[in-house]
Amino acid sequence: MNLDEIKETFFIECADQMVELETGLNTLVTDGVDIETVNSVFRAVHSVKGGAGAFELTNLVNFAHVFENALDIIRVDLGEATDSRLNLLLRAADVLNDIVVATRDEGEPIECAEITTELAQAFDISEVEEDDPDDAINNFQAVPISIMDLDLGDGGDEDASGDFDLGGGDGAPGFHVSFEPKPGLYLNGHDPQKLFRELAELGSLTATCDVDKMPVLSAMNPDDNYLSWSLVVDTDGELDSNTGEGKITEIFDWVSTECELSISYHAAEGGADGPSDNFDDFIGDDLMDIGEEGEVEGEEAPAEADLDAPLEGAAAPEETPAEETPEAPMAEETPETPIAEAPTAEVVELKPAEAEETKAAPKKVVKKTAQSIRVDSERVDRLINLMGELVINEAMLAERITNTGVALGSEVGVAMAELQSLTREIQNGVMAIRAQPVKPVFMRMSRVVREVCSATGKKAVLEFDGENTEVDTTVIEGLSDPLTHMIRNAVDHGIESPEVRLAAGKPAQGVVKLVAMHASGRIVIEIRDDGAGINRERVLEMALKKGIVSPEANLTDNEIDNLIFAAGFSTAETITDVSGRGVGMDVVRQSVQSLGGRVSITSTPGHGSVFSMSLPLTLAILDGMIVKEADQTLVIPVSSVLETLSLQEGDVTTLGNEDKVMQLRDKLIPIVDVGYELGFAKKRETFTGGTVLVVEGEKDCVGAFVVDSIMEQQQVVIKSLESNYQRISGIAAATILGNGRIALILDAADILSLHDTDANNNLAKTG
Amino acid sequence: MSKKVLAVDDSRTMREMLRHSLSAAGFDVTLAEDGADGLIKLKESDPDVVITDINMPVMDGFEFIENVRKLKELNRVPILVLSTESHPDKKRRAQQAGATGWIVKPFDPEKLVSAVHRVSP
Repeated sequence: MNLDEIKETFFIECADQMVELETGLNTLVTDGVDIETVNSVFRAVHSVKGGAGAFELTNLVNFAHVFENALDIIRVDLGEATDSRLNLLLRAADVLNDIVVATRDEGEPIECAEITTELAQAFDISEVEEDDPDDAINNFQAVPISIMDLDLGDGGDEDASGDFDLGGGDGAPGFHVSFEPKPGLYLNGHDPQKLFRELAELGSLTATCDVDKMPVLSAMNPDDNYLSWSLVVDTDGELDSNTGEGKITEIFDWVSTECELSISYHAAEGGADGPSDNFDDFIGDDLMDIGEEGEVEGEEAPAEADLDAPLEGAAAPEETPAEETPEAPMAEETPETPIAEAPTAEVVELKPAEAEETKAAPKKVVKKTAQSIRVDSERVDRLINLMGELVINEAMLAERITNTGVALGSEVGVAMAELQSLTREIQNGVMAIRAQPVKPVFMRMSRVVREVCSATGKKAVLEFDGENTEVDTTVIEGLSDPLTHMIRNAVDHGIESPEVRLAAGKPAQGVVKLVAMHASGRIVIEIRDDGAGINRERVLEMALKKGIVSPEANLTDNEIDNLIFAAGFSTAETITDVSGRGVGMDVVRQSVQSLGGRVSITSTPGHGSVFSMSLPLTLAILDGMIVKEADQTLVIPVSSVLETLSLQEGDVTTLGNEDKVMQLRDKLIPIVDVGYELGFAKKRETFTGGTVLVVEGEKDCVGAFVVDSIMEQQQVVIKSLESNYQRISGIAAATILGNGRIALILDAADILSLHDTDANNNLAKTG
Repeated sequence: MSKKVLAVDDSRTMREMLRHSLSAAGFDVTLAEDGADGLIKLKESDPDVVITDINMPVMDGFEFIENVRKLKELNRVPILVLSTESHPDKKRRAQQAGATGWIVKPFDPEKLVSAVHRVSP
């Protein structure tokens, strides 16, 4: 992966984090505050900040930082999470999202000073730190990895040979370091040898190992440390006392709590003022309390800060035998090598203090996402395409086998049946890969509600149900626009103002509920509001004025409600600055239809409305009814077929001029001569004996499609006409059949509406 | 033979950044998504140096380090903490858990590589 690709990954990851953030914050608002959710929300922002820092996306880092600080206050004390603060965080999340998008698309920078100030005030974050962008970014600049930062002077470079000068002695000019590792130093993966090498880069190094504490072998604990070193670094006057001590301290930064360390400087002229022979005196004189180094050690680290304190925990008892050994059995000094091998041990036991820490540590945090892999969507698309080919080939094979007259019960027949069932299973499996929960799209809708509320002064909360319902990603992508519009509509037109609601005996805050569920092989999404319901008088009045319905039309309540989806219904008069953006609900209907879906509304005056959307689970494959009509093979989606029957003499009635209808139980439904309607066949003389498919279009609109015959029912792979040719009204898509021929898939709803328009039906255009 | 580094971070972006910087410096890089994954990858890859994030789901960095130090083998592997946090308390906590060194995110690739060299055997 190159940097650009990593950056792309970062933005993909950001999108996920944004969903996590929004979901988490919503959960905090609706279900109350719990630490796991707070942590996951914090982690989301933290992660965005971390990645943004890597790419030096300053705006993003700065805002994420303020956001994180605010969250941290809640993380430390859940009681700090007031409703107003959480709502502010939700708004801040919107801004953060905007900044992410703007940064990704390299668009105009997002103005966030106002909300930053709001956050700072609401969470009482000190302004000084946050308001100065330079300052904020500085906080995130990589803190130098101290040792590597050594700015060796010219002389230093010459000396940076790494050789240890073993000839130096006490009282030599330079920096005198006494270093006694604690066992923890080795346990934490450190190696004194590496520290000495770094010291040697400052100047010539003299190292003396003190083995006084080394016990007899039998008394030796391999986990303990018995060695200490006195080191003299002669920088040849290159480094003054403060600078040198600072650099040496930096070298020992990572081990500062894991060793006893003291540093002192002996100027060249004061050579006589060398370190005392007595090691203890040396420490005593120049004791440098590590705890005083502030930034390395917290003030609140008394145990580590106190040099006189006995070695902690397990190390302490082990120390005793060592100290009791009066004389080390080995040589007093081993000038040969300052580099002692770290004691190795097979078993490392945690010190009691550490063990406690472990227990106190925050335990496993809930991982919201299940185990998953990320796959390039192109690969999945390819798999789905291949799957489609497989389905087609299987159908061809099946057809050929049938044509050879092989019995179904024969070996070949049975094997074919098995193959078919396997193919179907594989197909379900493949489609499941692309299935995603609708949650991310749903979560985005909270923002829509918030925005509409703040623009209209209404109060509403968005609730979810079934947000984990899965549907093909291609369907999800297409959901966002119609959903946004319907949600806007629900709040803007559905929910009443707080005063009106209170007067009507409702709570001031309205509820918009977004529900997803699976129903008969489709996904149904409903948007329910507890608002005023549709003002039918006004809708009807508007529709009459626009000529959408004729004055004589006698419409049911439901039909009136659904007029809002009619083309041309939405007008300037109904446009508010919120829901009206020049598009009406007919655009919603169109976009839902283009996904192979249907949309309708039911409304109860005073109690609210329900927008209902029904969509196919996938846009790749559908169950089709294969029919013959005037030598053409056509496919009608099984999902739109209600029943099939054959027309008998007397079933057909002619209405008015030429419109034919048939009696279906207690209802008259229009008859559609499919071949004629689509323009490839002559008009039928008679419908008697014709095969009829009763199909359902929009909003319970039902029609009888007359065709020559029904062949079979089979799964067909949808091949888009629009992307391969162009859109043809009445045709949803095309497919390849088992015999290798291309067949058109009918758009039942579209044909019904065509028919209605042709027939100049009164109710018409709404379809 | 190139030295092996195990990098543990829950952010895919950071993992890829780490892989990018360290591979460029000639390290053989293995990636893990969280502490638990890190423990598995540690045993599989037998790294010379481990780099770990702190704030991770499932098993955080502290717990991961503690668990590494409790292992029978590989318990002495140098572990560098890579975190946006720079509070002394957190550093001390990491040190107590058994961390070898501390690097603050976002990291300068060169400094990261130097730090790895600094602790690697």
